[in-house]
Amino acid sequence: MTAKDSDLVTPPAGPEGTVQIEVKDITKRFGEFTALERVNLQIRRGEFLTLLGPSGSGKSTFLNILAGFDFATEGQLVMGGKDLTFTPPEDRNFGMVFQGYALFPHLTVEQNIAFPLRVRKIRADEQKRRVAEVVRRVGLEDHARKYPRQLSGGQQQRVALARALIFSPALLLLDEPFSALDKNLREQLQFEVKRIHREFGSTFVFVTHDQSEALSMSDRVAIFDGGRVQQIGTPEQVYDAPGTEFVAKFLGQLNLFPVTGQQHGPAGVSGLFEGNLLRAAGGKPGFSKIGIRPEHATLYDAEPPQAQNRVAVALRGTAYHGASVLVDLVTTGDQRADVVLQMNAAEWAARFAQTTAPLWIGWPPEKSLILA
Amino acid sequence: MKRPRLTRYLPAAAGYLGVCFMLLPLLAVVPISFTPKRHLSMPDGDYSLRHYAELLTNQVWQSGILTSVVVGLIVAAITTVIAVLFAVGIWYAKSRYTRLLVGAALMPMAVPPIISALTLYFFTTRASIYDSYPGVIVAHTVLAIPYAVVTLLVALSQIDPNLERAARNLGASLTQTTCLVILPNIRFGILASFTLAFVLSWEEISVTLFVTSLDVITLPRLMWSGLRESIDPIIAAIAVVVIALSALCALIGLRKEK
Repeated sequence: MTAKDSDLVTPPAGPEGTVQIEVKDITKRFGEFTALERVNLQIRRGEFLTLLGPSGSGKSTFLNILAGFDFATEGQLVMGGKDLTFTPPEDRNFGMVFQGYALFPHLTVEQNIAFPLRVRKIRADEQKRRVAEVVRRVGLEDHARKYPRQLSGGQQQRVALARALIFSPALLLLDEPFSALDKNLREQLQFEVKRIHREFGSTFVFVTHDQSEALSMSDRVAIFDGGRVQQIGTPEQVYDAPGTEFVAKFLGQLNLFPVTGQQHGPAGVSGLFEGNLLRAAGGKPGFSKIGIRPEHATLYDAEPPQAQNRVAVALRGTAYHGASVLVDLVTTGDQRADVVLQMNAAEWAARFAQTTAPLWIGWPPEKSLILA
Repeated sequence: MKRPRLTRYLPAAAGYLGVCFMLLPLLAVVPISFTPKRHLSMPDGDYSLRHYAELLTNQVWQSGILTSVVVGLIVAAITTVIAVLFAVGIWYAKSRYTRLLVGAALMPMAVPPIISALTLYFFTTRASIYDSYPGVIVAHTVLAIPYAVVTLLVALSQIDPNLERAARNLGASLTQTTCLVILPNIRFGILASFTLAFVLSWEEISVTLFVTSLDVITLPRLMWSGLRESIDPIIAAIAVVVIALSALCALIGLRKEK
């Protein structure tokens, strides 16, 4: 059962960016309930892949299947030509950082970090050398002899990372490691995890329900909903070109305009909303809505230029956020669609706070999102 | 402004009252053990250590104590092993039958002592271990297991269920996970169930009366027969020694947990 020295030196060799793990048609059922349905994706060597989704979306089930804590009902996990689907967790050589860290309370920081080497029966002097090196790399030199309960949340996270990385795992899994922390510490630790990802060069698979965390940290994001992968791509791709309304709304605020009289042209698509022609670059058969992110639309106190998509709106209220203001608007036509707009707080105060002129929003067509 | 002050101390006061209620009767035996008389009585001015001296010299009492210690240690060891196997096993299994299994394991607790005594009497005679060390040990173990199981289940419920996953993920086999992670984290529970089983055996009388007669005389059994014939204050001396030992153990235990 114990791994030999040789299997734990490094993950299967291969250049960064090539496929490391192939996930084929993974389905998981619990009785009648289908938690995951035909999940297909590729985990690339060295990437930071985030599994993003609301609770109950299947992302945690998928992580458990990856880690080997649970097994798929159907489908296959393949790594380097080897079928991993039913390999027990201790033989996968994957590290994991748990929610709440799951540090061993009866062991010191050093002993926690040495644990993976100890169960692999590595020689004591080799253990000592590697622990000392990792302890130094994560900056825990002053805390090596302490017990987990004597550490702060951030220090505990470093121990968890060090313990999961010391055996050069093929994959590092992170299960919502920041969810219990306050906002400032969370941001600081996000930077630290990114730094450790760059330094150690391992493949990271990170699970979260927090879209801003997913966008800021990942090389690629896979968005889960209802047990399926809705979309997978770089943060820019999924934010700027969401495939579905769910993805678009889950990643950030969105103003949606249902359109009629859809037209497809060489320059893109268009449709009518409250008598205004809304245009968008690109195309999608069977689309019914055109959307715009709050930060991409501009507020006007006169009719916006012809080149812009334009909608007449009325003010309902504002929410002050320091540097920016969220403006709550409603369209003035028969649809009375809700519109939210984000703008500079100073500009709002100078130009719009006192105005009684009719308001418009406008945006360049290439910023439009096209949704079914 | 005034009221909250008073009520704030109320729960603590109630706690201390409870402690006194439980502990004060124990202290009453202390003066009795120093009586110079040959029957149970409060000393009136004169104090004597004669009952303690007798404890050190009297062969009968010494063999009673030895029997109880031997039986108690063996019972504690067997009980702890069985209870650890059971509790850790169902903790891992996370089966839907967990509640049923725990219920079955705790059942002996709910049986009135006299029923247990009769059952074990029939069992030991049938198994030809009546009035023997194995007989007493089996009987005491049966009685002690539920308490040890409860203690261990409580200890296990306090550990983070992710510890098992973390250990497995980091490469530990099931055996390594159990020995290096789970058992060390319930060590106080294991110690507590060992102590509890020992104490239950040490002071057990009702079942012991039914499964022994002449050959195996435990300390409570000796006290029982002593009480019927002559009320000897040596019982008070034994009680004081036992209380002092328990208090010492408790103190050491508390020190360690800090």
